[in-house]
Amino acid sequence: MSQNNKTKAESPWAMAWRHFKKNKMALFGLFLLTIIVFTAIFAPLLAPHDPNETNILKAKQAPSSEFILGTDRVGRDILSRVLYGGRVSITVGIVAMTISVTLGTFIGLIAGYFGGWVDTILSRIIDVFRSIPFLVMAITIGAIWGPGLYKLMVIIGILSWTGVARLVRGRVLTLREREFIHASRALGSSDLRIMLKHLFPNALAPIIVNATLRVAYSILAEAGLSYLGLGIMPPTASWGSMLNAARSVSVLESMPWFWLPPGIMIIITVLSINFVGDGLRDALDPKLQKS
Amino acid sequence: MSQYIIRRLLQGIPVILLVSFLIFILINAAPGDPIAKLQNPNITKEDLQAKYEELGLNDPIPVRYARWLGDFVTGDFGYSMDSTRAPVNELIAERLKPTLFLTIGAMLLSIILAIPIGIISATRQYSLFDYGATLGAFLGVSIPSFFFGLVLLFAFSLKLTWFPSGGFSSAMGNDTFFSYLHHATLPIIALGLARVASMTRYMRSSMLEVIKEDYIRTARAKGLKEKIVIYKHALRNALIPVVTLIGLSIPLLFGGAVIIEEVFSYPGMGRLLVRAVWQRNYTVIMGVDVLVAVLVFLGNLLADFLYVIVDPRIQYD
Repeated sequence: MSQNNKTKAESPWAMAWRHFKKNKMALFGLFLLTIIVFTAIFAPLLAPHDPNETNILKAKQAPSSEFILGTDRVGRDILSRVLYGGRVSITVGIVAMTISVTLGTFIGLIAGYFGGWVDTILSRIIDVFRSIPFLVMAITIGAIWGPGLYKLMVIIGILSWTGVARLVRGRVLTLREREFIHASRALGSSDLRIMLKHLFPNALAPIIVNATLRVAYSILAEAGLSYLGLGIMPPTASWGSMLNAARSVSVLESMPWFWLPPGIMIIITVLSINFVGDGLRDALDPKLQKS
Repeated sequence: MSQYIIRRLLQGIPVILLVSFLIFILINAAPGDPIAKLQNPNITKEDLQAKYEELGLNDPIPVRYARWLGDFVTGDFGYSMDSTRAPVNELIAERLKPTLFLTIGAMLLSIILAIPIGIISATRQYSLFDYGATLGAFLGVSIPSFFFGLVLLFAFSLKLTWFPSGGFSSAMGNDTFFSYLHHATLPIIALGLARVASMTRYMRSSMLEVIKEDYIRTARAKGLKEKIVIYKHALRNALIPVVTLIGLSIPLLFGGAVIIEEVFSYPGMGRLLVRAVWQRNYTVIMGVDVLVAVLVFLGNLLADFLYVIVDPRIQYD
């Protein structure tokens, strides 16, 4: 595309947005996600009650005009806990994604760029991580470290970087011998500069798509670990820790208002993120297979 | 073929050794003193030290790992660290069958449902069925499997009482395949949902790729019936990427089983592991973790053999 003529060249981001806008499901997902994130941010303004205020006299109440979604075992307002719980679940999702994507990008760049024995060792480490199921490893580490918000983010992050690493490594392998990399090296660029200035931007599109889906994955992982009692611990509300109450059969059977709202919020959030991720995949990289 | 198996074993065994060594180090870094916990609380420091020496716990980690490995390969997984002191291999052996029933069941369910849905979606692209399947697949991967399990348990076991709410064997002891299946149906559906969803998407896009190929056009030009074109000519090639997905699903199935077994009080390895984690019963954790890594490896090996069946072009030599 010639830059000399009067018409302004469309930036890659504007082009991606133009493609993204065409995908109705992705737009709908983005819309829902915006609402969910806003309700989480403004939870203190929106919540009708203090999420941790207990009131035994009003415990286990079914939804009513005073407590729109009812109250839990110790009389805490479920609606307020769902709003505050969203903050915790979404934060875990974003922080865990940042850890795994940063780790995966660096390891993938190093393995692909240096190749040889460095690649062999890193690839074997990736094999090791992939040969044991995430949840099995996560609860093993959880047993040793104990539960908690920060530990949970780190556990999810350090156990889920292999997908990004493989993806980045694959990209780098196809780019490594291209002329612009040779040119940059001939001009005296350091390895680090080549990796960060030339290789990383070329792998950015699939990284962004993967990062989006990682947030959804991490929210699901938080829910599962907290349900098992190895993640966010009560009294802190997260969508997963609220579902922990459903481990009791009597709660499951006769108090569905305890566990349906956090479960539905997880589904809506994860579904929206998956819609957005799918839209991004099509918009950022038309060459990528849609699967 | 046998050469191929040997090569795969040579690649896989170091990975499993590394996994077990890492878990061994991890567990050794755990806080607490399990030996002191198991002894009489009045034990003297000297006696405790003697006990360490006797059990070889003062040796360096690589030596202790080698000793553990020697026991593990001969089937001795040590003793449970709770009050029962049951041998870990017996604890695991009891629970292996329910877990394999669950994971294999979920795998078969996903194959049985996903392949036809994927084919119909692809052959009627942009039809109402296709949109429905696409939306269903998105939902399937977005619902936490254990939450779906809770909903199934609530609806079909607690409210409708069609299925038992837990267990695997019946109390009478006259277990048949169908009595197992009766107990495992809801867990299999809960565990299989996400697999069905992602495999449907794979099958659909793989089929769409294949039906654009020249040989499909040729088959149609010859005047073959559409059914034969799709099910005889296209399907076999479209299945190849789906077999890859089967291999990739194996760790997900074992991981998912951990939480699904917890939801349905299903007496499998996952439930054993969760119990062990709560009690910090490290010998059981170690045994289950390493065995799962071995099972994942064997599952992948099986998936590789499936390749030969669907794609005769692949020669293992």
